[in-house]
Amino acid sequence: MEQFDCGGHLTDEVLLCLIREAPMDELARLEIAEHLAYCDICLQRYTELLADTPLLTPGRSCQDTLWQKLRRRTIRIVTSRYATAAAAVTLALTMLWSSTALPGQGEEHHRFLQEAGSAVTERVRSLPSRWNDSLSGALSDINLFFDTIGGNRPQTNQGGTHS
Amino acid sequence: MTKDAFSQLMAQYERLIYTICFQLVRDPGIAEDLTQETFLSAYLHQDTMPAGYERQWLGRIAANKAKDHLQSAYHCRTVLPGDEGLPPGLAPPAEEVALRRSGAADLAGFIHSLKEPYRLVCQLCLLEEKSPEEAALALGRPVKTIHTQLSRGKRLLREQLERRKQDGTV
Repeated sequence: MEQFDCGGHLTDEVLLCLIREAPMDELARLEIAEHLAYCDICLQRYTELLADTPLLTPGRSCQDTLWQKLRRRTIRIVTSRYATAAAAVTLALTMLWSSTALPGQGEEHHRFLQEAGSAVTERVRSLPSRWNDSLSGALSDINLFFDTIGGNRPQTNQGGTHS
Repeated sequence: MTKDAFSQLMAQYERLIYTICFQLVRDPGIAEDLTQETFLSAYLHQDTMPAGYERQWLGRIAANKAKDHLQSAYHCRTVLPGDEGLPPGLAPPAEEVALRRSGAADLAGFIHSLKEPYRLVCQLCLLEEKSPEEAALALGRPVKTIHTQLSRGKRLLREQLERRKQDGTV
């Protein structure tokens, strides 16, 4: 039995065999499933053929179990997220506690923190002046650009120079 | 989509999806599991569901689920126990060596005698030396499918070569 036609699509014969549940080896069914997974035309043909045939009924409906499964999945995700966050907080607290609780390092630690704090304050203070510098630099660049385009034209600071 | 709307969708298409899964895997228990997995995926990716094409969209997911199941079952059966633990060698795969030794003319003959969907894939990748990505583009198939079809095609070629060798015709 030819499974695929010359155009690479499933033959009518193979689709009918599938629907009639005719004996078919595993590789053949895998090839059909592989093709149906990407070919819109054959999937359409297959579902249209199925519409004319009596459908099978599953032994156990998945309608109830699906919601249970979804609930379990959500709980698992949330639990793992909280567990990760809790582990991270515990680790951070442990490290903080062990670094401050070491004997003989109290003063050094305090000095280090003070130095670090003043360095951060310096940096934050210098930010507005830096922004000003970069902004004025950018504006002067723009002015220069327009001057270059304007060439020898007299400067017109205000509009309304109709001649 | 609300829970009620999705339940309605499930009630409408459950039998169709089960039928598709059963016809592909031929096992009622596995078909039930795959039906559930199909609706689970559909619920989790419902934002990509095209309005008015629910049947096609669900059918595509079901075919994908059945394909994945059959692929893993087929792989388990064709890989010999213990083979999966072997480290990958530096030498080219045995089937490629065999294909090279058999000569270009023989090889072309073997490839042309392959059945679809392997013939075109092997022709493009082995004879015309196209990459799987280029073959995927030319044939309109996903790259992953090209890779599996190429690997299965090579296995078919190797089997064919071994058969010929045993018969003494090569």
